[in-house]
Amino acid sequence: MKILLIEDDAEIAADLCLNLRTEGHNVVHATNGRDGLFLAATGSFDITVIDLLLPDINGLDVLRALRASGDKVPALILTALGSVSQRVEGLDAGADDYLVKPFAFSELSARLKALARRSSQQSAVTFLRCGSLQLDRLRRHVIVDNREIDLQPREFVLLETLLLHKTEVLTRTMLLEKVWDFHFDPRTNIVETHISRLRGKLGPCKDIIHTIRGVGYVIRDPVL
Amino acid sequence: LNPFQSTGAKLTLFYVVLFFVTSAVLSVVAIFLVDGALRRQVDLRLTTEVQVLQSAPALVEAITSRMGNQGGIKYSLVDEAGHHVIGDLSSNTTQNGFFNLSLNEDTNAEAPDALRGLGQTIGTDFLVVAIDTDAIENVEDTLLGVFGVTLLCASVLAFFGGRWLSRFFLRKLDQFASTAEAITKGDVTRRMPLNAAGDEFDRLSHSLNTMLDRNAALLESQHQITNDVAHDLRTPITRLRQKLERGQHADALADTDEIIATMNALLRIAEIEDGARRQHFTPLDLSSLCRTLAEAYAGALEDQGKILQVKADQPAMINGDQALLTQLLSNLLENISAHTPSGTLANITVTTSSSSVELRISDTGPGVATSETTKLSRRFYRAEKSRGAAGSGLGLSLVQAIADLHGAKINIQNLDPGLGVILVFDPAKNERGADSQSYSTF
Repeated sequence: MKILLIEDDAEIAADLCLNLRTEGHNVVHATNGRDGLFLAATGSFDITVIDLLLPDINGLDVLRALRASGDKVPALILTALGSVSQRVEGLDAGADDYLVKPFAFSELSARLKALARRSSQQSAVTFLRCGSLQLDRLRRHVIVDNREIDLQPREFVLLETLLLHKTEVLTRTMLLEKVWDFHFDPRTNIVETHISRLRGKLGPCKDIIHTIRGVGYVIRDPVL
Repeated sequence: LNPFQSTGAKLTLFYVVLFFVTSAVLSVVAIFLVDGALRRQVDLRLTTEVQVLQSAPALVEAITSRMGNQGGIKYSLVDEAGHHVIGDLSSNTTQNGFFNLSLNEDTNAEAPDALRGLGQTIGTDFLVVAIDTDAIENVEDTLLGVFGVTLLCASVLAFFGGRWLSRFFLRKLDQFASTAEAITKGDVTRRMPLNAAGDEFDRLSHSLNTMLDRNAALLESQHQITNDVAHDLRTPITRLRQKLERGQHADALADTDEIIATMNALLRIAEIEDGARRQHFTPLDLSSLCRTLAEAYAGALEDQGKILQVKADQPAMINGDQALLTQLLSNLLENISAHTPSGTLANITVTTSSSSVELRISDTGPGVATSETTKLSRRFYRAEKSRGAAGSGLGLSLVQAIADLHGAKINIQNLDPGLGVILVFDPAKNERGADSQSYSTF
């Protein structure tokens, strides 16, 4: 992936560049909003990562300028300000995702991959499949080995979310946001509990959900 | 400072001009009215005199007998040929009707110099009666003098009155200014002067004092947060440092997450307490929110050997911030998860009445001593029994802050055994923009 990183803190930027390049991405780094806007206009990127507190132009204004110029590259906002109203403001300005500092690199990496795929995937599909499992998004039921299984509403949304992001790792935080709309970190292991119950109900298909230790969960097609 | 720039001088000048113009206009009007009335009276007397003489049987005798004893009325009777027959007035007027006569060329100082006359043909003779109008002019002169003095006095009074009034108001303003100055210089406990009159100044004082109190509270809360952060982060940071020294990186990461969580909670409380979130209020169903949260936590609690029951079937509409209420419910459920033993029964109940929505979350766990229930929502307060358990001690502070934002009354009860948290929302009251004060102009 070709990533444009607009971040003024040299240490954080160097660290991020190193980690992202290790993962095989092509990273272009801008230290201020002006350079960022220039680079965004000249190179074709798969993802833009913007820090909110930039020395010259506010990150939100950079994003608004990008969106106003017709730039549709998925954007992730990095910020030290984690208040809910600011998150809403960021999403309003055209951000596709929002990550509060400090964060684990694995969290950023997972979110970037999800974002990059979101732009290419069709979200209008009705049937999601994985092995012998089929999920019908319109009738909201799940069939495993030709038998319908009974899921709680959130278990359904959890499975749907994982299937929509098949082969992508979704972190605990991402799942809390997408499935439960929790924008804070509960101590109770809600995600773990639901995953374990979901696995229990999927029976023969339970192995399609993989746990990535310390990061999150991913659904992959079974290896035959 | 130019004295004419001050509000006091401007006010005074304004009063003086206002008084002067008003008095002058009144005087002119009064003189005109008096003058008109007096002149009408003179004309009436002349008309009456002519009528009396007309009806007299012998005109010359009548004039002779009346001459000199009719209060300044003078007579002149001229015959057909233009000869003066009788009278103490020499007039060459020959026309009927009223006329004015000036005798300026007369050298006699005692003689009148302005007369009002009435001519009337009687038979073949021509009669003129006239009256001295000097008296009217004298009255007018006197009036003019009186009004002049009045005008002068009024202006002087206006000058002092205006000065007094403006000083009175300016002294009030000075009190505000000096109080504001004192506050700016650091005496943040000073407040605007109040008087018992309940006038506009008093209301202004009240408004300003309310604002100052609110600012002081915000300042205090900022101060509190800084202290809290310093106090509560020092311990985990020290632990983190030790672990990093010993090379226990995995544990260090866990400590870092703990620090971040505490900091986030503090910042969240601060954000909620400043009240700006009320702008994001939307109508929402508290029952449905409770069911969603219960579903999220039921599994985890079940795994701990606890049972969570929900009674929230009726829609319970309130105005609120969905994300924050989610956090409120989550924190209360987290408490049950962290501070109750296996076998605990937890209940979430939502009941609605015509005027309120009540949310009740109770458990059959160990509860909290009644003496401690009021302290629970204090920042970083940990009840005696829970010292060993995980958590920052901020959970209920956050609950309290969110409840306050929604105008909900919160009541923590020792159910013995167990703990009950009761929140009462007033759907009519928690709409935003409920309190605005307006001033009448007078």
